[in-house]
Amino acid sequence: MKKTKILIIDDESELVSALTERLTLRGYNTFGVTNFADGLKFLNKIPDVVILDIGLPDMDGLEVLKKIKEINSSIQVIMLSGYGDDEKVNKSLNYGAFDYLIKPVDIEELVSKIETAKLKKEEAEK
Amino acid sequence: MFTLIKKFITKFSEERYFHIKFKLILLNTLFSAIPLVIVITITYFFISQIVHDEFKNNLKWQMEETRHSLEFFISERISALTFLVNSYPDEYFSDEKKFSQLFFNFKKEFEGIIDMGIVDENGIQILYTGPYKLKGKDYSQTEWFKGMLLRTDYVTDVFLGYRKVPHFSIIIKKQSVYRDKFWLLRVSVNMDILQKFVSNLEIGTQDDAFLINKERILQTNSKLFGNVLEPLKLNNIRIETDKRSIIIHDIDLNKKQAYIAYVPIKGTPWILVTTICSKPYKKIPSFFTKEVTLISLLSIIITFIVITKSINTLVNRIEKADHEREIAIANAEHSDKLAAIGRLAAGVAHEINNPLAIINEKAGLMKDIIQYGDLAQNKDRFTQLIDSIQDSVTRCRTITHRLLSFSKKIDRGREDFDINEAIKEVVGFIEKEIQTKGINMIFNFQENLPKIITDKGQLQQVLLNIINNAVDAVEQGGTIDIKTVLLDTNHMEISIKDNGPGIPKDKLKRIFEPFYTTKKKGTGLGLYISYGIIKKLGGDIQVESEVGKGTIFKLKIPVNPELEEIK
Repeated sequence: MKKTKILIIDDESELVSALTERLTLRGYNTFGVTNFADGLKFLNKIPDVVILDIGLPDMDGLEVLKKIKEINSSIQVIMLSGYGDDEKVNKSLNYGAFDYLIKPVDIEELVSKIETAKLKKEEAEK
Repeated sequence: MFTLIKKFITKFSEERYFHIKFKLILLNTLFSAIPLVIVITITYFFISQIVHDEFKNNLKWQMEETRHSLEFFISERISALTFLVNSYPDEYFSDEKKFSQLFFNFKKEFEGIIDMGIVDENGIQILYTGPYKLKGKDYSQTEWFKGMLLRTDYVTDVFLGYRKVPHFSIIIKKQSVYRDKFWLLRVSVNMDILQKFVSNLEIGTQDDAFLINKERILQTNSKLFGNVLEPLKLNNIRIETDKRSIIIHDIDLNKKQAYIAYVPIKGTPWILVTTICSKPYKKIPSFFTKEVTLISLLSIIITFIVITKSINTLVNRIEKADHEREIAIANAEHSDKLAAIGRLAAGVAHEINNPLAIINEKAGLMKDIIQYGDLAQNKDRFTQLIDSIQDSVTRCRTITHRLLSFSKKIDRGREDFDINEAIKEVVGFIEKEIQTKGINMIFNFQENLPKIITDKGQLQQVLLNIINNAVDAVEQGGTIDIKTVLLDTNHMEISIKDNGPGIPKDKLKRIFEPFYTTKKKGTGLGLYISYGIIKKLGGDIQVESEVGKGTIFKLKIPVNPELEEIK
């Protein structure tokens, strides 16, 4: 069975490395980057799910979300942020984010979201 | 009295409102009383003038009356005597018995007659009837006898004569058919009759009325100026004897203002004189004054009560509105504080959630390693992960300590500190927001600035507010330039400049007003509170803005406020 491809974009490198390793241990093909410019390289490989931090140093998370959806609308994006701003949550959902999670995230909850997101992507591709 | 008025005015009012009320009531009552006082004064002088004129007219009228009575008295007797002389046969004026009969009848009809005599052309009284022995008396040298050579009748001054009793005479001339031959009918009249006439004048007890002749010799007794036949003791007063009408003028009598009125009595040598010292014209104005004072006082009291009541109501409403406004501002300030806390909390949550997420993932990874891998082989890895967790805990601790130190500073009062460091601390709070928006922060800090002595917490609250506004105003990737500069020995300036859209002029002049905001979610109190704080710290806050270019806030702060206070 083909492994689910996950891209993590977050400016906190420590977080990216730990989360990448944990998801890899759970059988996911995971890549982690700390800015959008690096993320673009992996986006070409069309990941199934992107875990995206809303506050990036080089570009606003919402803008990144729009770009990802422009590249491939079937890529499912799980937004991640340090604070639950209702306005940003609503905006990201409107821009096509799959879901929105507040840091720190429970790994099991994240895995569950990834699985649902993957199913959604598969349905979208059909 | 003042306490009573104060109680009446204040009625639950605070001291500051009492002062407003007191001033308003005083001014309003004064201004209301001014027209009343003007009207009363004008009316008083007007009425005084009328009463004065009335007094003069009344005096004139009485003088006229007395003059007419006297003139009538004299002319009546002259006419009667002339009638006697011309109508009765000569024997009545030569026969003693008939002459006495004639005198008796005449005396019965005419009051005041003492005696009667016939004086021949040589001045010798050839016939006499009366109480004195005056037959044969020579009158040839008297004034009246000499005067009768040219006249047909004569009224003498009051004089003593042979009888040594004050009297006057009326003399009628009978011209004989022979040229240069004549005789005179002389009638003596008691002086008391003249006294009676002048006594009829209705005058006060301090006033005087009397008769004088042209030589200013008293012809009747005077209360103030001497007895009959004495010279008038009123030397400094000029009396014009040639005037026919009644003359009234004011005089200074024993250093008191008085009036003198006089008029000559036609056909006699007398002048009727009246002096008025009692000032009857003063009585009515004083009555008027009493009545009007009472009415005016009553009007002023009513005006005062009405003004007090209305100003009380008005100021009480203002007081109530002020209190409501103060409560509204206090509530809004509270809301603003809550909003600020909310914003700060959101920032803090973001700041803390990131290291927490790292801790969470690192700890989770350790658990995963235990679950999926070989613990012994990953010993170094564990150490790394634990170090990373400790780093994140340190990060959290820095944030919470910074927050705690900020909250403590709010009530700490004055302290000395480095302004540049304080600004950097404030910027640190919103660092993430600045980073998210990609804002270019430029710090143009003057080096070696003296330590500022002020309330750090309050100043940082103002700085946080203004820098937050700048962050909100600028677009993604905008610039905020913060500059510090020492203006003089005791003042420094902090300027916060952004390249946002700027504020239009009409909005700019209102930005320090309470509840005025240009933001969708603003309370409109941030700059209002900031302005109050800066003023309290002895500084000043200014704003300049240009639409399309940006806004600059300039805070002028005293380095040592105590030096300012000494000034």
